[in-house]
This record gives sequence, structure tokens and C-alpha cells, in this order.
Amino acid sequence: MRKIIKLNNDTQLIAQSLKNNREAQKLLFDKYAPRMLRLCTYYIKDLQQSEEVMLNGFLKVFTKLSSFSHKGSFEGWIRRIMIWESISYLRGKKELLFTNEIEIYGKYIENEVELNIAVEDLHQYINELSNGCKVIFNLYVIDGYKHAEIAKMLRISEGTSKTQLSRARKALQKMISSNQKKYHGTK
Amino acid sequence: MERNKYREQIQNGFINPSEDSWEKLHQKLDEHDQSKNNSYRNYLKYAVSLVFIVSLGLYFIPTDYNPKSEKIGIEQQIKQISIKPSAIEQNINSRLEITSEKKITTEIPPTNNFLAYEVSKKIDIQGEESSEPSETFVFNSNPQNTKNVLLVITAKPKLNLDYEVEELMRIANLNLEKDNQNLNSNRIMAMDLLGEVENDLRNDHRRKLFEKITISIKSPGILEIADRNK
Repeated sequence: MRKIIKLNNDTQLIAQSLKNNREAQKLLFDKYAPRMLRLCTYYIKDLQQSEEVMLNGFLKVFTKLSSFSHKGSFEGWIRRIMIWESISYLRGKKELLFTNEIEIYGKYIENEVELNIAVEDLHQYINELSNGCKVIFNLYVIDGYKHAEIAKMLRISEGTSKTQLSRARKALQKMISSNQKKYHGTK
Repeated sequence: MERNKYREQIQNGFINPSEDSWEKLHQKLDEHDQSKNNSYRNYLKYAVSLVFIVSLGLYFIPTDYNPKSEKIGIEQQIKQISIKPSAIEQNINSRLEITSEKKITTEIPPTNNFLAYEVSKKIDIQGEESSEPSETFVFNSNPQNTKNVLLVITAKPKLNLDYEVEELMRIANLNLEKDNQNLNSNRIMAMDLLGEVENDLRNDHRRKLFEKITISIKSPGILEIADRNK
């Protein structure tokens, strides 16, 4: 008879997953997969590819689970893996290009955009950005990484990171304002 | 504030993966486990093979194996010479020290004034001499004797300077003989002569230059170096 284990929290699930318990692994997967897939779609436009990347990410999560030190949140650890996996995927496809043009990013920061838009719309706008801008925007704005961390992560200079972010903001501003004008105009 | 609100909303957003996503992951995990097991098995195979080869090697090495004995070989030069026994005896006495003497009865024809000369030296694997060379002389001690008793004398070079002096004298004599032959043939090698003249000139020039320098040191003035061609 199959032994039924009551698995309530992450710690128990992790402990069981470490013993290669597929049931526990499935529970962890079911718990975090939807949010991680959403995260991947912010980096990779195509949903199928995002799912593939997410599955590879979960494979790493379960095979490297012993390296999770329980210091931070488990979700945060998985998120980092998913971000890395997404960046690696883009790098592998040679879709991650950064142009190092000097731009004055400061003036755009002062011009805060009115973020009176739905999250879904914002997601759509972000997806319209080039991969380089999108990745840096996501890392900085959504995942809260610092420019220094982004530069280290992507092996680029901090200046490039700032430039790309400024370009992303500029493009988003343009997209949002044109959309708002269109919306008000049609009204 | 706005950014945080959006960040929270984005982070909490979700998209349900496809229904077979867990099955795919399950399969990937199984494949990973399988490959992990295979790699362990491969390591085990290599380890077992290595142990087997080593033990096989140890089994076939003889117990009285002495690696040093294999390294040493004997280089032999055997010459047949036709010098009279008295001459070789003289040679032995002048430059060699007899280490052993033994008589052997052989079937060598008594008329043959047989003599064998052998130089043996032990060499190691690098071809370097590992011990003093020894020389063995084999000759018919009594050619008239039908039984033909051979005398085998083993000797090693004497450790005195006489032999070396003799050797030097021999070389000097040879050179002298060569020079005499050249003189007798009334032929002079042009290049040798030119070389000698050149050497003389060089020595002369050096001597003059040295003299000049010594004079100038003694009485400081303008140092003039004589042109060697003058």
C-alpha cells in the first residue's frame, strides 16, 4: 500500500523532494509553476518557449535542491533560477544584444510616467521592447536588481545597463502616451 | 509607490502551465536520474577495470624481480688478433693488471696460433659505464700440444700513470711521424701556412698594442693605436 505523506509547508516538501519523492516535487511544481511561467513570459515573449524554459528551470530546482540554504525564501530562490534560465535561453538564441550608446538617462527618470494602466497592458508593452531593453527593465523594475548586479549578471557595464533602462523607459513612455491619446481620441 | 504596486501585481500574476507540463518535467527528472546512475556505473566500471589491470600486472611480476639487473648489460668487443703470445704477454705486463688466469682444453687445431681479445665493460641502460672495463686474452699457450690448452687471462688497466704517459708518448710519436712524412713529401698546405702567418700577425699586433698602452699609462698622452697593416 502506498504511503500517504501529509505535506503542508515548503520545508517538508523540500525535505521530501530531496529524497526524490515525486509527489512532493509535484506539489512544489503545482504551487510555483503558474507564477514562474508568468515570470518567464516577461523575459520570453513566446508562451511555449517560456514554458520550456520554466520546465528546464524546475529541473534545475529539483536537481540542485541540496544547494538551497534556507536563508531566503524558497520562492525567491526559484525566481532567481528562472531568471537565469531565461537569460541563458536568450543568450543561447543570440537574442540578447546590448548597444552601448551614451544617452542622458537622468531626464527620463524625472519624467515619471503615469502608470494608470492595467498590468496586462504593461506586460504587452514590455513585450514590445527589444530583448536587451526588456531584460534590463524586468531585472531593474520588476525583480528589483541594482545596476551593478545587472551588469555583473549580464557581463556588461553599469553604463550600458543604465542606457538600456533609459531606452526602455523612453520607449514605454512613448507607447503608453500614444495609447492613451488614441484611447482619449476615440472616446 | 506606483512601481511597488505594479511589481507586486506582476509578481503575483500567474499563467497556468499546460496540462502535460508536469509529465514532461517528470520525464526529464527520470532521464536525469538515469544518466546520473549511468555515470556512476561508468565510473565503477573504470575503477574495476583499473584494479583488475593493476592486480594482473602484480600477479605477473616475478617475486625475484630486480629492476637493477635489467638495467645493466654487457657491451663486448671481441677482436681476433694474430700477435704472438709473447707480445701480448708483454702488453699485459706493461699496461694491464692480471685479475685471473685459467686454462681451458679445447679442440682448436694446434697449428692455429689462435688469439682472441675481448674487452668487456658493464653498461647501464643509459649507455654509461657502470664498472671498470676488463680485458680478456685467450691464446694457445702451447701450439705444439695436441690437446691444445688455452690460457685465458682476464686483466684490467693498471691504475698508475705509466700507462698514460706511454699513451701520450705514443700519440706524440705518431704526430711526429706524420710531420716528418709531410716534410719528406715536400708539400706545404697553403691554408695552414696562411693560418700560421695570420696568427703571427695577430700576436705581433697584440704585442704592439699592449706596448703602446703600457707606454701611454706610464706617460699620459694621445694614444695612438698602430694600424696592424702598417
